[in-house]
Amino acid sequence: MESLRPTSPAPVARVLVVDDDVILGGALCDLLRQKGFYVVGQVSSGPEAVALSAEEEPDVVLMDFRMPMMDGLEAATLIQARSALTQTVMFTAYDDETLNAEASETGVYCLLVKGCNPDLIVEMVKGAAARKRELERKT
Amino acid sequence: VALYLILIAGILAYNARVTQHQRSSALVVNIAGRQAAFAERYVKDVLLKAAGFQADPEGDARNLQRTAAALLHGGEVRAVQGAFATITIQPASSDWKVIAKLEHEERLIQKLVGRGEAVLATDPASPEFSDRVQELRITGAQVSAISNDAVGQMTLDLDNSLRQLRLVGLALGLIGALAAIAMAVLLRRTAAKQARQFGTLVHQSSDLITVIDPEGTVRYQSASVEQVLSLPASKLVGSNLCSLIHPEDVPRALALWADLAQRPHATGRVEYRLRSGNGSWLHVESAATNLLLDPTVGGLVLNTRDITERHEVEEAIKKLQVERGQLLDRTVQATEQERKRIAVELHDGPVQRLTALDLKLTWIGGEVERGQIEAVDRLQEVQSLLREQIRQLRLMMTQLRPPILDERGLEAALRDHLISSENGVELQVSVEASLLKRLAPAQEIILYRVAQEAVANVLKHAQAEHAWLTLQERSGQVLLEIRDDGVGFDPLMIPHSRNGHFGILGMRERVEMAGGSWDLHSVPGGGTLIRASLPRE
Repeated sequence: MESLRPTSPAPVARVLVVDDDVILGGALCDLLRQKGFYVVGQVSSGPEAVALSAEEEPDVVLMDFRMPMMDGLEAATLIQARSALTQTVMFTAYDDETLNAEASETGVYCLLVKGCNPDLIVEMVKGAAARKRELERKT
Repeated sequence: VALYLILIAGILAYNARVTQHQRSSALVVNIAGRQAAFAERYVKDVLLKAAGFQADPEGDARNLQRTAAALLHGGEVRAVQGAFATITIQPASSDWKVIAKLEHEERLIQKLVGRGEAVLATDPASPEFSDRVQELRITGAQVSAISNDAVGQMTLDLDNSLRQLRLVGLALGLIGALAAIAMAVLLRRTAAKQARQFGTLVHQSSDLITVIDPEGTVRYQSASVEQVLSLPASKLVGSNLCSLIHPEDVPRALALWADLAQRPHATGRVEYRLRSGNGSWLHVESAATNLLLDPTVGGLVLNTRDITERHEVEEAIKKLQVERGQLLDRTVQATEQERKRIAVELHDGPVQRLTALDLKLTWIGGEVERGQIEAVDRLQEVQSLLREQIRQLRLMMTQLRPPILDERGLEAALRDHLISSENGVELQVSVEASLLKRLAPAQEIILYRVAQEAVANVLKHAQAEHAWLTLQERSGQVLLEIRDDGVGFDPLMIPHSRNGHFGILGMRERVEMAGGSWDLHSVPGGGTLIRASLPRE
């Protein structure tokens, strides 16, 4: 786990990055910071993600699907059980229809495929954060 | 043939004898002489009557005519003189030559009588009367001469004919006798040769020829048993064959013999083990034929052959097949593991790295954005290339081993990845799956690969618009069907070099190795159906 400070003075959203590939996770963090997000942390497993999200209460969890010990979907379910408004953007290398359907049922905001345009990642994280704020307003 | 020839010769000889007898009896009476006498008497009576003497020339003439006719036909005349002669006409020879000659004679006599009547109708005082009388004399003399010649010729002809008949009969008889002797010798030699050959075959054959009753008691045993079982044939005769058969095989042998005994001339085969004289067991195949009703055999004939070597080869082949199956299974498993490993490595390595690179380049692009449009453009080009590489790698990973197959099972994998294989092709794939629960992992991968190969073939060759994939359970079997509405093909006409053929063989082999069944139905123009079923584990 790495504690990081925001590079933007006015972060639009608090994001937790979860990927078992540390280099990829780092690249995601860098990009998100550049685009003005506040990265609350970068972890490389599902249990770590559940623990840190309970501690930091991020708006959005940008999470890899296939990780050792616990997959992203399971971790997302546990995170949502604790803080229902936290939005999850799933990031996966496989474009599975079944996974897409399961993610949708679990309440995952969206599922992105690795190799998509990074701008789309930024857009989706933004969208997820907006949804969180909207839900907060409603409640 | 000989008998036939002898019979013909006999008939000819008999005919010759009969003809000779007839000739003797027919010619006992010298027709010519009697005819000459008749003619002279006739002339005398006619002339006497004509000259005014007391006589009954007309009655005499009739009697004489009848007498002559009777004699000519081989009959007999009791009395020649007077009007009350008793004449008996009997059938003469049937020889046409004799009859022709006799008829000729008769016609001459008729002519003579006719002339006589003409003389009678003439006035004795008339000038031509003496001329007629003279003519009658001459005719009578001619008749006599002609008749003598005819009889002579007839006798000569008959003699010749008889001689020829005798010769022909003798020749035919001789030929017949020789032919009969030759044939008898030939037949005896052939029979002896066949008997020797049969004896040699039975004795020198490596097969055992055994005659038993339905209970197994040996009635006859060929000498080859000494070579095959190291037992003397004499020891077996009278004993029960079952005492030599392996106890586990006895019921099978007895069942066959009992069954055959119910059906005359029926045959059957059975394999069993026979104990040889040195105590070792031989695997034999015995062909049995029911000849119980054949009076020369009166038993079941067993033709028994040592198949120990063949049996050993078959056992070796079976063992090799099992080993081959295990090897294939291990190869398939190893291949699957390797595919999985490569897919995981692609996922964990290049895909993650390239994605990270893409993100980093995006970050760099964000930093150099202002005032360096060209650099940003270049960066975006590099990123496009990167993303294409990532996409290719992802496709490769899925084809190698879709993780969803392990994670969610066959149904999900079929729905996700077979449908995704239609990308870029106008093919609609409908998936209908109704499994009650997940299959064993090994079965899932087999059926997934079958479906993958089948769909790949549809895409490559079928030119189909639709494909239907069904996965269901039925009576303890898991049934996978892949059907398309494409051009189809003749399954017998697949060229061996075609890759698809190996694919089909591979599919079939995988399914059958797993204890399942596989079949393919296709006709040109009628689409293709591939069906694979596995027993539910």
